[in-house]
Amino acid sequence: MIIETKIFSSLRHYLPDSDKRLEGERWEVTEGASVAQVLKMLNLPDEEAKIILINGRHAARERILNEGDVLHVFPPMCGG
Amino acid sequence: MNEHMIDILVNEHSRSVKDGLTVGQLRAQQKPDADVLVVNAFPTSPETHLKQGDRLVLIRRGEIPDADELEFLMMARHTPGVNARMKESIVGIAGLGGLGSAVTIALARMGIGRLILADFDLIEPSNLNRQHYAIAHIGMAKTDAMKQILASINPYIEVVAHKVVLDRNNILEVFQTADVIVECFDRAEAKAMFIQAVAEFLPETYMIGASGLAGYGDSNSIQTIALGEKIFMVGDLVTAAEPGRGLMSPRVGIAAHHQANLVVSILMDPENIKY
Repeated sequence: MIIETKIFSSLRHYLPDSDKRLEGERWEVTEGASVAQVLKMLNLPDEEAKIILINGRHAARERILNEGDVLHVFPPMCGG
Repeated sequence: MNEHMIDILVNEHSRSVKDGLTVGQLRAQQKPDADVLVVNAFPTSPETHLKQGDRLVLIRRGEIPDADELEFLMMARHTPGVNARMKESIVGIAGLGGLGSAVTIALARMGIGRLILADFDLIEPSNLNRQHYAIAHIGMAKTDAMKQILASINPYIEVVAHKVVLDRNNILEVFQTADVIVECFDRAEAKAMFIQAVAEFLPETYMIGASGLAGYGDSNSIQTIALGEKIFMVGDLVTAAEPGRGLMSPRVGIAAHHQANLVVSILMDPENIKY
């Protein structure tokens, strides 16, 4: 199935060259893949991939993705 | 015979007064105890003659405007529609450091009806480089100092201050009544915990975080982005505070005012937030 990702700032450096990557930020992932499995496929380290949303809403790492889902992964920076 | 009249503003109220009237004569009628006289933004004397269209402000030094007067002055600046919406709104601010102190003061000046503040920290001398506190506040809890500051800006807004370490167990209790929540923490781990928890426990509440605002770089790289329908982030998204690149008042202030401006935009017209 195909999902879309929005990977922010420093995390983008980890994204792999992969034939699973379609045009833009669309990826082909295994049917029934969890967020954790997709983060691993995208080479995103757990300690940096801290804010995770699916379709703009809270998502646990165990959550199973569906076709067409948009996965946001954001690494907040220190400072305030 | 009708006397010739002129239209002026006196403390933002429209008045029709006799042409040739002096500031001192009008003061005697309207506010005899006023000791500061301002016409069109310039200090003036009681002998000054008023002209059509003048804007006169009569002030008694040290006097606290009553609630109705302050309300009227806010309406004159913000328009009645904006003022009414701000007054009925509730905004939560998590963290009262560089971001949070600036966001809180900006929103108090907008007349937000109730501000819910949360911070566990005390004010240290090093905070004064960017946080909106003064020497006299050093050693005080940020919640107590901010309540004092807000009372000196607008004593008629409601402030609910929680001196508490926010975690997943108390975020719902502290912020569940807020229309919009602003994340103003310093540490990345705290930001992540808070944003994830708000998204999980209060999914229908707007949340505005911040990330990437250290140093003195490009002002225009501070931006607002949407992570979801109700979750936004402000900052350049990359510039972390670290040794050799500190947090500085101007750039932190830019980010804080992006956050505060987005709060007002959401409260006024949530259907038209486009990022």
